[in-house]
Amino acid sequence: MKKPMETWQYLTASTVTYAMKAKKLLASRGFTVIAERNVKTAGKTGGCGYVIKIKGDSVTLTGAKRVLKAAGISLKEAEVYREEETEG
Amino acid sequence: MSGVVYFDNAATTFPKPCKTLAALDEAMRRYGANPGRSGHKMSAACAEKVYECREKAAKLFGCTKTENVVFTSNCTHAVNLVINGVLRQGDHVVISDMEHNAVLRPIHHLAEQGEITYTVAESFEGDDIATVKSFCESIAPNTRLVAMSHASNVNGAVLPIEKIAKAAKEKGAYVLVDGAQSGGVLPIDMQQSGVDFLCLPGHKGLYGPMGTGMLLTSADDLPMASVFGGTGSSSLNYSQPDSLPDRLESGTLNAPGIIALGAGLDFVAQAGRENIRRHEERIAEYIVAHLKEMPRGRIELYGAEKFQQRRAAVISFNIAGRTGEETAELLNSYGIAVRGGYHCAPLAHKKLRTLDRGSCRISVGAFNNLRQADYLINAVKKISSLT
Repeated sequence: MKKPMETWQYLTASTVTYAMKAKKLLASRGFTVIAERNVKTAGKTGGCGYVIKIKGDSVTLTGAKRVLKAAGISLKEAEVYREEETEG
Repeated sequence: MSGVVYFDNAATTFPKPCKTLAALDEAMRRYGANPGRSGHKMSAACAEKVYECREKAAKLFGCTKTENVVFTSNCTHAVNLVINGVLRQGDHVVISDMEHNAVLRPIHHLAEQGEITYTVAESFEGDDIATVKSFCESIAPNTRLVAMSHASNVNGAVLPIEKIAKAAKEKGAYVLVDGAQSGGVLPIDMQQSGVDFLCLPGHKGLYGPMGTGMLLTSADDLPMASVFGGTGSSSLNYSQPDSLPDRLESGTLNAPGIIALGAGLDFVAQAGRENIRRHEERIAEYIVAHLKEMPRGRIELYGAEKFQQRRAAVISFNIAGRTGEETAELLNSYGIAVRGGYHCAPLAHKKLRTLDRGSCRISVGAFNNLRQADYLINAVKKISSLT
């Protein structure tokens, strides 16, 4: 039986430290979040960086960005660069 | 008494907590990949463990941003990152008269190159007002940095860093604190103290392995990098990344050491920094009391009177007719590990008037006990009766 489709929102983080910080903070606020290497668009963002994958829709993303901003994690460090639907 | 009786904790603490040893072993076995470089699971897991150590250090020292915890190879490395990254041509620096060479040498080197000037401010143990006044009078219009040891590695004397920091910042200077002897023992809160740069060894009062250290900073834009290279981030950029910690962390980190340092920080948090301080103080005061009971003129103590948060558990003394090195060597024959000599602190020995023979240093750690202290005291008694 096919699994339901899941939607993930992507933010970029320039360093692993920011990625970890964002991941821990968002996870502590109930977001489902994964930090991993930026494997697709690193070449467009300076080379070698990280993405924060947040499970949910654009409303979820807005909430996540609000949490990050309140914690002083600059959005310059983490900008939306794509949205993608994948099979869960 | 079997095995070594270790009273050289100011050089590095020994033994390390079991959890430090276990974490180091686990790090080598399970987290052996390079953190922040690759995308595979082991690299990511290692990066997470490294980040956890940043969080623990930030929490212990009141550093508001985890990314402002920079890992270094030791405290001296951290001090050098600040000095070489902050100072510019024509700047003036104030240091204390108890500084370790970790602070003195990089400052003196820049002065020898004609890039900066510096003033050594006199400290007055037990008189904070006089000490702060002395620092204030040493600060000039072009003073960019006040750099000072929190606690002396020679005799444990503590500087009133909060009061000096307040005065320095009112005059527009940055404040560097060398916490080599105080980190994990004396209270340091970066938010409360006004300290801009806190330099720490990982292997002393934080009970991590040697080869670890940290720079904690509350200044976002400083210092500039003095070591450049790969950071695992922004690889296409020819310039060093701006953001911390990458700006100051070029090259592969000592991840196993950092993970074990994280366990050391856990040890301090669980045992309680204040409990550790009280324990060390109790043993140091016990030793001092017995040294003072020895026949007049046989033992010379350098400043060790009251501890009670005014002194780290470091005792410097000499036996009449012997150099500090000789006493340390004789104690070694009893299986006691202490340090003799000048302790990389010429300014302190100049102040204490021990440039001719140095001193023998006893430094207490969390794992010392009164039985060991008695053994040490009896050995000193025997040695002092020989001369």
